Amino acid sequence: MKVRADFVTNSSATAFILIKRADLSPEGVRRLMGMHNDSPLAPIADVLSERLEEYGRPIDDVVRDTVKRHGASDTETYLKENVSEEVARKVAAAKEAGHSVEMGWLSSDVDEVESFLCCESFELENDDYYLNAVACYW
Amino acid sequence: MAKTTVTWIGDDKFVVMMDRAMTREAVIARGKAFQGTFSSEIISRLWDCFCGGLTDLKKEYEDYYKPEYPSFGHFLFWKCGLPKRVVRTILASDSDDRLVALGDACASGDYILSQMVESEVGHGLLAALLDLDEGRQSDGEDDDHESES
Repeated sequence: MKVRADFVTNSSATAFILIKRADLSPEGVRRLMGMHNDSPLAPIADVLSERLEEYGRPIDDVVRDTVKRHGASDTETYLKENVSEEVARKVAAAKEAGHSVEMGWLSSDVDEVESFLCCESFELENDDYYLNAVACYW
Repeated sequence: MAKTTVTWIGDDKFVVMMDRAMTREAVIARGKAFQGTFSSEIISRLWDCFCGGLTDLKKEYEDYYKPEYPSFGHFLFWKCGLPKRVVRTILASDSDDRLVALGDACASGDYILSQMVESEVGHGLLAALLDLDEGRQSDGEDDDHESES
């Protein structure tokens, strides 16, 4: 029998919703996180930008493809069951306005930076983007 | 402002020497983050993670141990158990405006953030925020701890 005397966790992935009113860019994500372009935090924003780009897919497609995971067959039902009314309204308004609404998952076992972002619970918004990673709590 | 030096004396414990002007506010300013944003929150938590559990060794010596140990160096060596080389380094660059402190990387309990600091990105961030003297970071494992005159 093995005994581990330390933190023991399983890996996890937590969902994000991203509304894009402008093209996604590292500079844009730096602004969204609240830093100057030459901030030493910029590499973290750049990782977030890269992963949002990599993992984000149209929310309707994601909900349709992952129906077995959450039991909702359409975006409206999914949002009703998983996010606040305010966020659901925000998503509906963005779709109505023709903005891109994406969804994806950040993972805890890719690297330390993504793991940190995966375990954080945050909601960020500016003129260009709305990023909801509030479901990211452990 | 003189650079910050860190000497690891175990897996989690370290001795840090830094300018007393290196406060939480100064570090947030160095981070070039806007106040009240996610970025400033991360920097503030990094400060807590790294500096939250610091024990000011000079204050500890002055307040409690001065009658017991003839010098700050003796206190560092005999009471704190710091390796000789580390003690010499501390004494060589000691001044009133420098903080000499013992830290514990596990003190804050912010496990995920402290894990991130171990990554290349996280370490670079901490180095930039605290103005770490990368060339003078070391561990004290090679030092003997047999005698101090």
